Amino acid sequence: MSILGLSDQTHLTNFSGDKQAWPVYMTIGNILSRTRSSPAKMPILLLVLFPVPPKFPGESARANEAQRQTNPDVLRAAFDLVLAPLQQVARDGTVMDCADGKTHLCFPILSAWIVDHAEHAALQGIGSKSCPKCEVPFEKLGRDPRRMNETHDYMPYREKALRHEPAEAAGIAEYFQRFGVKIGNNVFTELDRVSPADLHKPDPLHNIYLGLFKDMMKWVEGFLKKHKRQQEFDDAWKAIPPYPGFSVPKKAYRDITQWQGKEMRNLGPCISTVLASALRNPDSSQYQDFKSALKCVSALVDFTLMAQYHSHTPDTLSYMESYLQTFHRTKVIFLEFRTPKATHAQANLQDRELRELMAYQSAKEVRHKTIANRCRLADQERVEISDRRADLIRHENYFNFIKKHYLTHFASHVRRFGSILMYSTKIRGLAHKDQIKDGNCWSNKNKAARQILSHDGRQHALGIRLHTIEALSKVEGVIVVEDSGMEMATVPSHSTPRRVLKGRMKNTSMLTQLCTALNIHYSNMIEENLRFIRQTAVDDWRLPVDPAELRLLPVEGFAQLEIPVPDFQETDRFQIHRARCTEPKAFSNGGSRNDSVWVQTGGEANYGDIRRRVVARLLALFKIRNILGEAAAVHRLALVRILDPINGGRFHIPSRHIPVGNQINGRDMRIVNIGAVIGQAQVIPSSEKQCIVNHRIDLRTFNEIY
Amino acid sequence: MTDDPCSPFSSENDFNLASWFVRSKVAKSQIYAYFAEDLGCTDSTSFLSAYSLRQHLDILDPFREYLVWAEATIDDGRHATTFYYRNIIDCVRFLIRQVAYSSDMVYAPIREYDLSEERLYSEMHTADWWLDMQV
Repeated sequence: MSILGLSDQTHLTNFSGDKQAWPVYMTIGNILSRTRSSPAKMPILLLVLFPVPPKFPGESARANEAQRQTNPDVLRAAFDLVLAPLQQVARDGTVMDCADGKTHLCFPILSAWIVDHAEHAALQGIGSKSCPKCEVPFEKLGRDPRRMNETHDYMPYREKALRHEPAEAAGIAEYFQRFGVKIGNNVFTELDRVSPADLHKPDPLHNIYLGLFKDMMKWVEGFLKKHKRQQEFDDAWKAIPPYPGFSVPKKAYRDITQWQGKEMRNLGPCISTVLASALRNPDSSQYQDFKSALKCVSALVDFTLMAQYHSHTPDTLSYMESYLQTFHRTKVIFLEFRTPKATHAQANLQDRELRELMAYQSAKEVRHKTIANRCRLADQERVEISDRRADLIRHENYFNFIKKHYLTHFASHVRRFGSILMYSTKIRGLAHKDQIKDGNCWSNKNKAARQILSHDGRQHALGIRLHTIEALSKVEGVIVVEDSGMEMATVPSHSTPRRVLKGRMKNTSMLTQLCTALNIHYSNMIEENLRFIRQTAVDDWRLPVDPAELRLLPVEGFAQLEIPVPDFQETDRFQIHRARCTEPKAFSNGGSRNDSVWVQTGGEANYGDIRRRVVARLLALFKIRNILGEAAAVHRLALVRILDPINGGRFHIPSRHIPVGNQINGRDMRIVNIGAVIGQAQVIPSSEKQCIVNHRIDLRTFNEIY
Repeated sequence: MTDDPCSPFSSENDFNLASWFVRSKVAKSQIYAYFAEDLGCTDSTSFLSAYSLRQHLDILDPFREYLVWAEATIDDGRHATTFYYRNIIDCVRFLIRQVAYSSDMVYAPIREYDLSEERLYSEMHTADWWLDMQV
């Protein structure tokens, strides 16, 4: 069995004393991640509550230096105390009563420590710019490692640190420097059967969304500015249509001043499509640049999407690695926009020196020059300064930052520890709220730690009891079934939820009225209906083929279709897609909505990469009742406008997007059964005649389209 | 675990009331008021004040001895600080015997394969580390 440790320094209150606490949590890897990641089930126990001592301003630098020396020792002493019980049982095992009613011999081993990079650096005793996993030197952080670097072996570091002569101290420091290690003997090295290098877990929230995407957006901004495409980007940004689990941006991109994790997560799936839309119709000089920029961004987005799969096969892992390589090959295009602070400072310094030098020279010569001459000279100087600056920046720019390097460990991590998503620091944040912050809220702030702990204890005891009762009642239910002698599945099988039509429209009781409401020509409608009816089998259920009879049948119009879509790589959980077609009415004080949907196309044309499905815009939803037939069957139908794929539905090469046409000629309407509507699609308009299908919007679409 | 799921509360009603008080975060003074004004209209509750409610809650968990807090002091040379910690092994014992998680509990590593005989990596017990560690 494995133990997962989590820790995170947190603020308790921002006002009244600015209190902080440093809680450490633990949970076990034996609990499957669907329970482990759900805070309502309380699988995460508070293990330690460290107070964070307040800082003392105004103390001398020497005292601070001494503090820096003792801090790691104090930290280690505290962690030694907490982790000490693990030492014995990791080797010899211990017998435990388990939930299945048996006793097992268990070997609890610490296997993960889920924290952000700064805390990792503190706990593992590494430098803030080195990787806790491998001995990668700083200059190579941004490289694509064909050959993996040596994994940190913390044991020799510890040996070195423990047994060195005082005279060797300088040599030791240098030795550690080479591996990016600061302290040889970190808090985890003493533990049996634990490899400290393995404890680090990649974290999607901090690493990808808050780290990489944030940086990437800076490069993209710079790129757009250089090519004067900012306005197009903003337009495409504002035109992003709604999609389940995605909140539509309300502002233009450039107006957003602050980004939160949620917004970053929002941005991830649509950025490459928006960019593709903004960079449409390049001229010949821009073509290559745009192509590689799109390729680079798309590769990174593909990588992050794939990293979030719940289960991997060797295939998906190799795709992941190849996306990463594509990213490394194409990232050069953004190099000029990736300027670290230090380089900026250096460039500014160089500018200043150059300007002073020139001012000095011109001051010497100024007497002999005319005004025109002086102007020309000043211009030359300016050009020279900016050239020198660009040179320096090009020289010094690099992609060496730690979050970039972590990506190289993702695939190997999946092989060793399973899917990445379950190590997200998100669960830790939620645990904070329940266990610490609420408790602090309730306490009278006097010796708060005790009160927090007892508050949490009460909440926890009750929660666990409620879950236990629930679990017990389930077990009892099964026993009853067995007693009655019936053969039934022990777990109630979840029936697939059905598609539901909602939002009935008033004043539509016949096809003619529906057509008037939708502003569609009646003859088109009838024609489509007939075409649809002829495709269905001839039986009692079939609608009449005679237009005159069809006209009399009662019709109900609807504005919303709820489509249950199974969650990606899950079978019994569904997400409800609500496709709306509210025309002519407005939808919640915006314009009217006609959502895009995926429509299954039976045996018809196989549209290239999008595979037996087409994107369509939902025009109307209606029920039609065949009162003339004996069965009086109800047909639930949808009127859609097919968006024709351009290039036969194949990927647009540089960005791997699918462009679709957007022309309105009245001939591309189709009537389908609502069963053929698979789910919502996200289509981002790019020009008057063309849209781009965003297949990266969620994992499911990404997986199916790719 | 005692047989009665509601112990130490005397009845299911009692337990539900207590659970509602805690989950909806009713303040202590409001709980006192509830009993003082006799809003419950029942006479057989096993607790009649916020104080006795807390006492009941404190002995609610049958495995509470696993989760006791120890106190320790660390001294960094200038000021000593107190912190609280639990025994990590006892925490593991607590988690692993919870009936609530029994349906989602695994005890041994496995190798999973999909239909085309490809190795699947999903949960922790399907990946290599656990297999390597298994003795």
